[in-house]
Amino acid sequence: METTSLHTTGSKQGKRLLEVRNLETKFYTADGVVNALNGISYSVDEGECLAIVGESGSGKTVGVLSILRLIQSPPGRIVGGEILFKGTDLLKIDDKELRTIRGGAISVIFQDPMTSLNPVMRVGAQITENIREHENLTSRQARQKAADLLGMVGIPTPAKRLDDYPHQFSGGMRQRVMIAMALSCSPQLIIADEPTTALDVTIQAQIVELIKSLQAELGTAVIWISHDLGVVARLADNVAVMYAGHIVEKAPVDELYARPAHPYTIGLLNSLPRLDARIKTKLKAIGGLPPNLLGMLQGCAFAPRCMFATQICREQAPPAIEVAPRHQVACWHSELVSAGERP
Amino acid sequence: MNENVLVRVKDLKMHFPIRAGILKRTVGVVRAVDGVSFDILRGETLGLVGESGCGKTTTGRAILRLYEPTSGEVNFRGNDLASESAEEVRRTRRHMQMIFQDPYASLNPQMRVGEIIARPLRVHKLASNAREEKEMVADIMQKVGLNVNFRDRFPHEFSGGQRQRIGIARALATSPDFIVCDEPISALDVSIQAQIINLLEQLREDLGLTYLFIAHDLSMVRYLSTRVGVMYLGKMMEMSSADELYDSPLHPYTKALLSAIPIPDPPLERRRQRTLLAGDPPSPANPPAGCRFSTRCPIAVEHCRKVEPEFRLATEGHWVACHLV
Amino acid sequence: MRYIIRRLLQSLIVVFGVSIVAFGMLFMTGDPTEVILGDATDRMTVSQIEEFRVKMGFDRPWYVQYASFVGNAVQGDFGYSFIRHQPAFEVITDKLPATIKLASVAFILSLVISIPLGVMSAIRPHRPLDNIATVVALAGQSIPSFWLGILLIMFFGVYLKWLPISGSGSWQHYVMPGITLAAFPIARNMRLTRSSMLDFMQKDFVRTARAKGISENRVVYAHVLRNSLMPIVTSIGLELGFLLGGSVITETIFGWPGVGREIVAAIGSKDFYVVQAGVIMLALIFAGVNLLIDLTYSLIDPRIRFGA
Repeated sequence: METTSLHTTGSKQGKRLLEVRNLETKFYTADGVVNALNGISYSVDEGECLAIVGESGSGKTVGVLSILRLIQSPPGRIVGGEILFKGTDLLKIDDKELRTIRGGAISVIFQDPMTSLNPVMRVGAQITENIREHENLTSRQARQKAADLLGMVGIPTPAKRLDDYPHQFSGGMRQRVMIAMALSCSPQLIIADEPTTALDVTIQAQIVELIKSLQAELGTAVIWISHDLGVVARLADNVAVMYAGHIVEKAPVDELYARPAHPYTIGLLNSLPRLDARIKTKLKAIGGLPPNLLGMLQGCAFAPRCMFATQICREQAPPAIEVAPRHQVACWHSELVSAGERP
Repeated sequence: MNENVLVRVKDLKMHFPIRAGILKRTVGVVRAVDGVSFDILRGETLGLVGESGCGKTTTGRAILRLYEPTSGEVNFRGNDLASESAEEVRRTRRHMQMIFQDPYASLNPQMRVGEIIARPLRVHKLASNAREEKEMVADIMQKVGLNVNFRDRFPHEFSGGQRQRIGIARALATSPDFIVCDEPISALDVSIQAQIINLLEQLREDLGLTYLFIAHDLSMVRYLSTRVGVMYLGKMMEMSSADELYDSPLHPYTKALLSAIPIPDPPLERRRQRTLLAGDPPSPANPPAGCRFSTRCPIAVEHCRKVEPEFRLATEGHWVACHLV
Repeated sequence: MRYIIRRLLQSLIVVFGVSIVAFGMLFMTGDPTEVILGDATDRMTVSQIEEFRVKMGFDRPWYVQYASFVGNAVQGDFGYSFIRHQPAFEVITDKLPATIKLASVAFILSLVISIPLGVMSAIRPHRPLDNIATVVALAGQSIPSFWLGILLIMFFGVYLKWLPISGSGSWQHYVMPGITLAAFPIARNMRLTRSSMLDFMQKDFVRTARAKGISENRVVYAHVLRNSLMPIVTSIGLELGFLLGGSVITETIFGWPGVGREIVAAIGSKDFYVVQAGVIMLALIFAGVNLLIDLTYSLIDPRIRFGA
């Protein structure tokens, strides 16, 4: 049995590591232009865990894959904005420089461990491939390091398992392999794209706790993409909520859950039943559907589903305003909303 | 049998053979469901939870006789389904329906919504003429919140949530008493899930339905269920009223499962103690001896690895299969 | 190892099945006596024919005949060719080297052209090189080989007089039949390589590979290509089978002394035992090639090797 209580919020963070400004990504498809990201801005400090929350199609995955320019192109294209990683704009560097950052200073843990590993390559080779790209080690040293990494992420008899293929691992173990790979070159930032969504509940808990403890131990910053508000509550320092390619709300984790100020965030929190709730009130579902991102939207993207919406919401996109220290909301009626006038 | 019991499952087993080689000889069996017994009471929602491979979906399908159970009994309204002929099962099936997980895959893409809903009416000859059928379809569509004017559209023209409404409408067409809901919301987005859950709840109240609600989302199961059963590796581990199960679980697996679910409340999450289970669930083709959970159980003793615990009544209405509680 | 033995046994079953068909063919066309003797029956008396029938054993029950056919066949005795005046099996094996040589040339030609071109097309889809390759592939797949063969003969053989138009012997003799035979496999395998590569380029694990910062070349060759090989191996394996069986058309056009032409000639002259020997030979070749394909699969994909 293992218990963890490693969790600090607020100002444990160090220097600014990543700063994303007005990032815009579009997909040029046969049906038209899909506005996947409509100018999102956020930052991550050293050692921070930022969670980006949203539903499918909200742009949360495109948003982080754009950081390493990993979106499929064509049809995807980053059309505007800046991605400053320790002061360097990742959108301006050439492919060779970008490659030293990919898997080096910034690494990724993908969603589905079943499909994210090469099925015909031994896992040892897949890990050492990353190590040898970024570090000047002999193949033997790299192999030793890979075995150490597998041990660190909790895979029994790691040296033996290097020569196994992905299909010889269970889902949870494969995700551990992915984590070992992501950690292999001591990254400063790990992008975790829904790393536990494809896993069972008890395995999900193992992986969450593993990443949490590794993060505390190594001081790595993490961007955690999720649709699960429970997981986010467990490990994030700060949270950004995305809807239709916009960040609609951004706040420290306690603040966001205690005083949500965007109608969509409130809607999400209210639509979930709680595991520990004895009294059952009717779930407050958000009516309607997420918008189609094909073509330009006018006004606030959430307006058609919002009970606070007025004329201005339908006409002009709301700017992000600060409603409390480090708590930003893009809503014309945030005062009304956060005053608790919940319809 | 008690008047209140709608479905009685007795020692249900569902084994799937593993075949290999040119001659497709049986080289082993997957014990997907390996002897479970429980009742589903009229008007209740029985939640069934567990991780993938625990047999919850197979149990639901075997109850509806979508699979031919290896052994055991399924009583529906007092009749043993296993002893019924194919024709009788077909007739009984009118009263028991299923809502599937994937609204994308479970609707015929070449049929219009109206036809999808009318099909069960025709199969069971429930409408006397075309006009009546049309009225019945419109009525059902209204009940599940679908715009009746969309009856001539195809499934791909609908969103995921609306498709699940079509799936529910199809299940409701024959006015069943009992519906097996197999992960009906897990393919849907969070903001849509609540819409479907509210609809299911509304329908249960209005039409007096009984649900077997199979899901891995434990919060949703608590919200919707009267009683909850926890399965692990083909066996029922614990079953009781929902509040009792969540507030005072007895089985170490239930405890671990509940502690693994994070609650969207950061300060509470920081205080919560977690029981992390080591490793993965064993394969149902080769389950461990004794208690199935003994390989991952934090409190297992020697006895657990040898003798399989009986599924017994621990306190009033609270069943559990564990030597140590 | 057990896998190989199992596959060998399966191959044997296939060859056994084909032997039944080959044996049955003799009876399907009617009384084998008349098939074999052909027009000669007009000049023979009834008792002479009957004597021949008994001598050949056609009066015995079919299963006895089949048993003796198999018994003889495993010893390499497929009967006697009355036209070539030599054992039927020898008629085929004599022609085999020529066919194998030509097949090898065409096979290697198709491999070294189709796979690299397919890879290049897939790396930059819808760019000039890919577009040209698409047109060439379309042509290669739609031009019938007899027409391509004749075109080549007219241009390089008759007009330019660079290459011999018929027969075998020098390396020049291989050029035109080699190209004619390889044209279709080149076109098909190129398209197959391209589509398979494009398919795998979309896979999650390729994105993982890119996220490691490895070079695009390594992404393509170490990750995409190896996975893409599975469908390609199937196709080139079957091609090898066809090539080794001898191409009737190409061999006929270029006067190539190969198996294909021989079998067709034997069918024409009702040289029945030669046809039988040829069919069995083809079955053996295909069974062998299939075994080879399966073994290659298990080399490429560990999931097959470990029976997952």
